[in-house]
Amino acid sequence: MLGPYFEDVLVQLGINVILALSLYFPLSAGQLSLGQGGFMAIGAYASSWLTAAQGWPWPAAFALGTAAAAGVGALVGLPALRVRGIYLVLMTMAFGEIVRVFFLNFEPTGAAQGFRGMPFVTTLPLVAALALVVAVLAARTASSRVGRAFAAIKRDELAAEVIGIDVTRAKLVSFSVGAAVAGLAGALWAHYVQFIEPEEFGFHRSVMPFTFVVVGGLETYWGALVGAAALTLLPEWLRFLKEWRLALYGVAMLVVMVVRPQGLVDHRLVEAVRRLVPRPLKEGAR
Amino acid sequence: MSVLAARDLSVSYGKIRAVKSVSFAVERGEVVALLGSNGAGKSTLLRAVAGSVAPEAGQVLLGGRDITGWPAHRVARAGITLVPEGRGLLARMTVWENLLMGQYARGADDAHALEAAMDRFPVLRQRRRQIASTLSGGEQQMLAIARALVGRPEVLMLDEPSLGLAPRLVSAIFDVVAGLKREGVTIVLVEQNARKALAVADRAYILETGRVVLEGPAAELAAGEAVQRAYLGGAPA
Repeated sequence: MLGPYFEDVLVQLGINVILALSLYFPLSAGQLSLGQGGFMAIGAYASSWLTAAQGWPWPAAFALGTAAAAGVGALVGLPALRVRGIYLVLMTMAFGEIVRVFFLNFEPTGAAQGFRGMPFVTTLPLVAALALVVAVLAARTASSRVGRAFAAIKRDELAAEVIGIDVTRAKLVSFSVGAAVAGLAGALWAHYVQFIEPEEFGFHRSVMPFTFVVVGGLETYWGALVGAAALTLLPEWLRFLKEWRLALYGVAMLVVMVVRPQGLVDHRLVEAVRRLVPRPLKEGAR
Repeated sequence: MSVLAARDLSVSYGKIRAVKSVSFAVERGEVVALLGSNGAGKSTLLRAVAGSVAPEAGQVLLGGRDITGWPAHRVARAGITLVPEGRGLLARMTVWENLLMGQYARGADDAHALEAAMDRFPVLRQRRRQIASTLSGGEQQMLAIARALVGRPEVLMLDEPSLGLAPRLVSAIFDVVAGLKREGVTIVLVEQNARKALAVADRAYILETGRVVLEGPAAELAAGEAVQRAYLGGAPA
């Protein structure tokens, strides 16, 4: 049996993995978003309102919360994806702030007092299963035609469009899928802590997935997974340091960025690990 | 009917008119060269045809159909493939992945075209698992052309394919163009290397500061003194 403390860490790990992957999707098409906290808030509030105030069963509420985040993602994406680079980052930041301030003033979901009353749904097996589903989706996308189109856009938009990729549509899809995944993370979070308030979904929440993927590595979805795991578990392992633990956490991040600017996991590492793992199913058993 | 035609095409970047009312036509199976010095508007013209910059005025016709103002991905799917200056390879992808991306517009893999491309450039078969950016400059240009060919374009547009290559490789690239011409591939070739381009082309247009100043059969232009003058007009002494 797992102790409650360990289980709590693992649930947070699962939610952080999903949040990190929510940024992987837009990033895989070269779109950096610092507004994932906003999408998470939409997923959290929409699903919570449906379960707590409307009495919906949680699977339907989760699905609609995720869809709401995806829909808002598409609405934000339409104008935002015409801008690039640093300007897109600023627009998504502004979006995150708008969402936070909206829920801060939105009475039906408790405004600044926060919102409660949702059932406890988010068990460790559920988080693990959904994290796995999202990770498999990321893996399947990466090796698909769509994933190659995303990668082409990330490298060179002109090259991508002259080989027939609809750059605007592909960016919109990657952005909306990322928003949906962030919304799912929000729904899971809300039905774990059973109390949400707007301040939880501010800028620091948007920066979290960013640090996960930067430390983990931007090149593959493994980076998002490893980064989320490392940065969720590290502060727990460092607890014996008491008040110095967050300082060491910061130092660890600095060291990674200096020693391995491409992140903990890059293409080369993934290829090296692949070569080590035998694949009897694909290659045919001995 | 011309397979590709531009009519009075003008393109501006802000206040600067890079292409001023240029018309040209390409017949099926023809190699047409667009020549001129730096800043003559050649690349801009290709980009306007490919849809990656919007023309200010004029028309682009593909097989008689007006495709003016179409976004680049639609133009590519309609059969015009641009190999951009600097090759536009997906540097971090393997040679094989780059070739697969060449068929993106078709929506399905065409194994026959992929095999044919690797038969044409055996070095690509050897290196198909290699990351594109680790190829030599000449190999990268071969890959860029191969990637365009696997999509079986109606019109292949090459923007300065010899740029930055060693003289021996420049000749190799022009041999490739000559080979494609023998197979009946329709090609629009933008070049600064006028002599070699005129040797392979059927017809040529010479641009100077955004306008066509001369046009005609390549052999005639190559022989005429006027070409030397017009072509050298914008070049440093």
